[in-house]
Amino acid sequence: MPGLSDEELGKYIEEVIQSTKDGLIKWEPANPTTYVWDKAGPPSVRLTLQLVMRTRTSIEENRRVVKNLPYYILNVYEFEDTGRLNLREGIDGSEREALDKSLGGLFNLIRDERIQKDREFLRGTLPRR
Amino acid sequence: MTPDIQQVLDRLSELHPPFWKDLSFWIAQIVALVGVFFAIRAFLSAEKAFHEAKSAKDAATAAGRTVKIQTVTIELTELALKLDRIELELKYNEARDLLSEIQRRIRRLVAPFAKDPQLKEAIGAVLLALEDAQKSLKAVRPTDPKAETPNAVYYGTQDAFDTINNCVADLLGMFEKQTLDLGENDAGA
Repeated sequence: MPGLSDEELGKYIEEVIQSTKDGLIKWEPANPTTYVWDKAGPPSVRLTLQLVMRTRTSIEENRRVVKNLPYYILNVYEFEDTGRLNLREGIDGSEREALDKSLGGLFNLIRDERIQKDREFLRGTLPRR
Repeated sequence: MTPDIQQVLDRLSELHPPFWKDLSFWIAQIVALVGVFFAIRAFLSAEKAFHEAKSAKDAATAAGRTVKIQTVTIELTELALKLDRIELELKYNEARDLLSEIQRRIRRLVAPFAKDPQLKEAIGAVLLALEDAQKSLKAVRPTDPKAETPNAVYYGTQDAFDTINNCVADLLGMFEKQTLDLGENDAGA
């Protein structure tokens, strides 16, 4: 989907958000800042959503001030017949600021759901009184 | 004064003439003056030699520092080139090994200059960048090491590695400036 407009990609992200809310997309954590969803085909695809921190250094009152600013990256890969992943679309929030907010919303939604699942899991590990 | 007393005094004067009339006194004086002259000359030469030796020591120290700085500069340039070559397919274990190596080498290189007032800030910045990179790396540690998410490590650590690279470049500039201008300690001055 190269060359898609922000508007089209924005609609796509909204649909991903809705599908996540509806429980149609089951995201799994790949690392502390990345969630992954593998969809069986056709087409077989993998969606990855990653929170990335970028460091910005500025000089304020003769002092070096370091700020960590978050942004999000949503990548859509297609599984090739060989099993290799082919990147079909990448939405980089640092380059598409208009979409970054939506990606952040999706990330927070997934994280909150994950936290809820972890909470329920921990409750389940306790003996019943 | 009676003539008898005068005669006695004259006689005494003949027997014991004043010391300044004695040639040996003047010889002793001349020898002493020559001794003092040579002593002063020796002192001045020694002082001059001391200052020259001190200047030579300072110049040798500055030259040694210059050589050390040049060694550090070469190693830092090598690290900067390594940081330039990070690829999109970077794996977690590769990033971890790279950061460990860079961290160990930078810390070893900058440690002798940590208290240098001109380098202190640049060194502080690079050490801070290394700490941030550790945090970034921790944030992309895969849940399942056998199934790493493509490019995730690169996205998560690229900025941190870039920051280290920028700080290393700043530090290189500072070191290069020091080899060009050593102020009072300049061996070539």
